[in-house]
Amino acid sequence: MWELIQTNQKALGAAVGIHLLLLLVMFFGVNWTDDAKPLPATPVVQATVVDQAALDKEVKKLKAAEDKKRKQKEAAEKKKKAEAKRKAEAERKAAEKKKQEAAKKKRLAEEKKKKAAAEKKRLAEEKKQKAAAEKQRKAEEAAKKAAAEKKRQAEEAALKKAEAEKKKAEAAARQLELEAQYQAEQDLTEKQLIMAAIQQKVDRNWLRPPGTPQNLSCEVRVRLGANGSVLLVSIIKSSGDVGFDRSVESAVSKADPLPMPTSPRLVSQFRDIRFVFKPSS
Amino acid sequence: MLIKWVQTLGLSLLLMVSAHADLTIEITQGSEGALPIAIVPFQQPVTGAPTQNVDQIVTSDLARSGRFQPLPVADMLSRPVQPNQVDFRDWRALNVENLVIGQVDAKGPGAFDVSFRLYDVYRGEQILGYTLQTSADELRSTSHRIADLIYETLTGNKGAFDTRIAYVTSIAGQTGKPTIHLRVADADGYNPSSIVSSSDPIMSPSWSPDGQKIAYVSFENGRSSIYVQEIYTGAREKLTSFKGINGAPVWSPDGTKIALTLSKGGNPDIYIMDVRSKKLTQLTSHWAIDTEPAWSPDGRFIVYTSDRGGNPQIYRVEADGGKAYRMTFEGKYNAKASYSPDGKQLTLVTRVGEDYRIGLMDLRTRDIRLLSTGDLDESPSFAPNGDMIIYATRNKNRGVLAAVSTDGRVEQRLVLQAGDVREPAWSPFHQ
Repeated sequence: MWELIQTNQKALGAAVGIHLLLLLVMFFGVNWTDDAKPLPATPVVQATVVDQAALDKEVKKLKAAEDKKRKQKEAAEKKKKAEAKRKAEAERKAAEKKKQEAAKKKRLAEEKKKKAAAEKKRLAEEKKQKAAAEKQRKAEEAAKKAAAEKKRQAEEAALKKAEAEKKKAEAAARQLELEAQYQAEQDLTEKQLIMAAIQQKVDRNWLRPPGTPQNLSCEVRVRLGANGSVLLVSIIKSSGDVGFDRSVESAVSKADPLPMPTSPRLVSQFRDIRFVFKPSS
Repeated sequence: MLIKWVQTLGLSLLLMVSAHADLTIEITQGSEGALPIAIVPFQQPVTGAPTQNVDQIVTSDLARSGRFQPLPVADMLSRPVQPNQVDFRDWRALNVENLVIGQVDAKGPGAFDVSFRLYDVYRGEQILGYTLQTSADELRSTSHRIADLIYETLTGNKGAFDTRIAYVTSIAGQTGKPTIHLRVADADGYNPSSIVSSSDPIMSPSWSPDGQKIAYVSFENGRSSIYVQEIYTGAREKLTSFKGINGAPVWSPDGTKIALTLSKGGNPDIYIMDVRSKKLTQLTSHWAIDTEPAWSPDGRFIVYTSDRGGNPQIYRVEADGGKAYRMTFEGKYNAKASYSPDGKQLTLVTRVGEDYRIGLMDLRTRDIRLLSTGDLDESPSFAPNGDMIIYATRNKNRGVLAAVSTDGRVEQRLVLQAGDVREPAWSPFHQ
């Protein structure tokens, strides 16, 4: 509540102001009623007639006097009566006024009370509503938050899962790659070993003619069986020297069978070999 | 998808590459040496066997060339005569690369058929096979022809075993004065026969390009003359007999001219004589000694020995004449040069310290490589195939003939008769 007030200082000020204004209006309203005085009774003017006309006039005058007297009396009475009446009226009026005032006061008080109660009720209601709204808002928020959280968690989980899968796949790929690399390295090593072994064996068996010029070279293509047996030796680039070419063919034939790799993958690579025979100084 | 395609493409490329790009292996070591060969003793006819032994002649021919290393008969595991008796494993076990088998069949009195087959032992196949008809007299020559066929098949170079050599030999007579012979023999020294004999010196035999005639210098009658003699008829013609020196005749490659040395002008110079018209042209004219001419194979040049530089060196001049061009600068003595058949080398006598040796000069690099090891080696002469050089050397104060392969690896003395042998000249190919 405090927070609410704090956050709504302006509204509070306005509310207090309005209430004060209301109270002032009510107060001054009562005074205005007190100032309304009753109007005074208006005096009646008597006319006298003389002779018959005067008598009449006198009579009339007397009568008139009498009348006047009576009338005065009546008037006095009337006045008295009226006065009483007025007094009674005034009293009545006062009482009434008092009553009215009391009633009014009571009414006002009641009204005030009622108003206060209403206000209280309204405030309470408002508070309640606010609380409810807040509660609902909070609930909604919480629900929303929960949903968001749930969603986030789900997404996170999905992401995690995807990542994990990706990692797994990568790891698997890496493993495959490593294996392939390892295999390739193994193959390369074996390939080089076998190539060196072949080279050595052919070298050992190469007996070229004495006095062979250094600039001669001869290329042969050699087809091998899977077990390294020499199937075919064909010269693809002759040295131009029959004896030299023959020595090259013989070197390969004499080296039969040639070393072969054990890996079946490599064997195919070794079934067709090009040899370049080139004496080095 | 793309990646997969790329992978597939890559893989197929890889497969393609591995299927087509052969493995390449370089062979750079090996060793140089004579080719191991086995010449199995030929089967002889049961009756009437010839006195000459074909397989032995072939064996020694091939051995002498330096290109072959024949297996001693005693080392042979088997001695096949017929093709069905050949077991290549026997020969592979002995590291023999080539095998020769054969037989001699008597075909009447003094007539023979010689059959032989040459095998590639490691490939297990016959690479040559012939039957040659011959006679007892021709059996050595036939054997040399067999050696030539084997040599040519295995080296690619024409064999020069069935050729001859001419040389001069001095044989001491009973009276004390030696008789000088100009002899012609087989290239291995066998079958010598004198074509001229004299009590006076005979020098400088030179074969005509057709192998039918020999030009030489004879001092008979006390003065030098140049003769041309037909080998088979013995008919001879005196070419020059000028005052002074008539020396060193040598036939031009086309056989129409002879270059020679004459001193009729005062000191020895090189002249060229037209064989048919006998017209003489002076090629060199110098106060120094110019001698020992030799033609280049294309007939364009003549090399000769001259001491115009203070000591004997080799010079070259165009056969049409012109300026002399010095070719040797190494050492203080280079003489008796002659061209190899391919024109790329000269063989010559070069002095090394106190020794005279046979050298081989590369005409491109001008380097001289020593081929012989004697102390007084002389008169080198190329075999017509250029693979060997025959020369004269001293052995126990006696001249003998030796042959050396042009790579210098095999040097072998020729089997020769008594006498002091000098000035060998190798004949052209048999025609």
